[in-house]
Amino acid sequence: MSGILKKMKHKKSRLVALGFAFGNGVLIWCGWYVAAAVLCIATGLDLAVLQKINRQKELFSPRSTVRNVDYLIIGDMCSATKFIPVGSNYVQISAPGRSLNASYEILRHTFSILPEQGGKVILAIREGNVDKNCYTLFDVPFFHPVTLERLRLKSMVWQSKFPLFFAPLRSLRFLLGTDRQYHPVPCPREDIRDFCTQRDLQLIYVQG
Amino acid sequence: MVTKTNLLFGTGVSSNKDYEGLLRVVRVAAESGILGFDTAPSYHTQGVLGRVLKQLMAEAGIQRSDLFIQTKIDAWQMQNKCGSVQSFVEAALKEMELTYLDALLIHWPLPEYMERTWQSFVQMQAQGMVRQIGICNVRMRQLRQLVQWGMPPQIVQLERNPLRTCTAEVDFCRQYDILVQAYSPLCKMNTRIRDDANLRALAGKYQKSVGQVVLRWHLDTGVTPVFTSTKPERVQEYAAIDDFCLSAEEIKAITAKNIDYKMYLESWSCPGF
Repeated sequence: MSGILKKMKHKKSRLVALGFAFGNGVLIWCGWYVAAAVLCIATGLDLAVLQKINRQKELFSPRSTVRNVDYLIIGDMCSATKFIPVGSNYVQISAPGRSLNASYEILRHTFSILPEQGGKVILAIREGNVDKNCYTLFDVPFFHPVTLERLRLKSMVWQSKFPLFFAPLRSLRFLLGTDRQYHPVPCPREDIRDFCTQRDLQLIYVQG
Repeated sequence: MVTKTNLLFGTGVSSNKDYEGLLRVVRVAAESGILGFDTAPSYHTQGVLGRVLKQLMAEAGIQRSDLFIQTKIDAWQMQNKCGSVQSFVEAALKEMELTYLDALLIHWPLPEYMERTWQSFVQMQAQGMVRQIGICNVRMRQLRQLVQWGMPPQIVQLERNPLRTCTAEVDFCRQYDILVQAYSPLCKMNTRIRDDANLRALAGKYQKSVGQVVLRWHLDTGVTPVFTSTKPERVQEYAAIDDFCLSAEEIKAITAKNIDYKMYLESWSCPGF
């Protein structure tokens, strides 16, 4: 136990882990074995969601060597291989229910992973989320503090640490990687088209 | 010449943050002829660098005019004051116990605050708070815009190394007499640099290390490298590059290693870059 705690460098992580262990201990002591098991499973799933998000985020850190990829795919859950040629390398940042607004903000943060010239961006958006001005706790981890301040999303940051508890259905869909049928259409937002043109990005917009 | 030294010592994220540790390396840097220092609010080294340099001036008889001290304005500061950043610069001067800065740079050019921040920089330069103004992490797009505004920078700082040579930006800056500085000049000794056969051969030829050869390449292409180290012996090693020069063919061969590989993604630190 102390070995695991030593590996957890952050104080907050240690506190959460200790809290979990304590809570589980209380449940078992009370004889509520089913509740303890549910808590374990829920925590495990929550950590799995966090790990998936963090793996995506880590691609953009200086430690990552993933650079100059052929395609950057942002938006709702989709199967990347349906849109890109075989053998292409890509980075995909997908989450259930992601709005076009949120996808654009994520694009603003992540497009430098593409080559300087000729990078290709695929935005995959569900029809019902094109005009929605909303952000979810799956979007927030990709936002710079300046963006969080501008969009007044700071309060969502701590929710994004416990995705399964604040968005259980979306978290399960995020883990399962559900898919839809998408078809290419012109991007309905002129500002996004201009953004891509100014940065020499080829935009492919697909809607489902 | 806009800087007094050919090398700048950086106090960035991998630098010493404690007084004694930083004093040790800065002392060695000064003894080795490096009198230019780079910091930024996000590095959390502004204050300690100020105290270290004050101590250095006292013990080594160095005048303030001998030093080149530059700091930066971070993205959150641009946003916080909607570009009117003078109060942050005044705070930095107070923290570092200085009356002026040799250079002030925009760290990450947030597009929504760029113009206002640059105007603020020009004003501070006119007031004498800052001798030179510059900008970091720009591409041709931003450079052309600044020239179009009639307010070209005097200094541009880029992530530059043999794997990312920024040739277009360097050539553009040369055309407009803008000094180019290179941070992460060694790409943190990426294996593609450290183990490169050509660089190792050059190191053997000149009896230098690969790091020294790469720093020399920066200087021979007209770029000032900004390097950092916590080890005094490394600082001494990297300072000892004045006794050789690379030939035109050797420079060309190193420049040809460019693969546009960058560690720090501009859009990640500067949304909408």
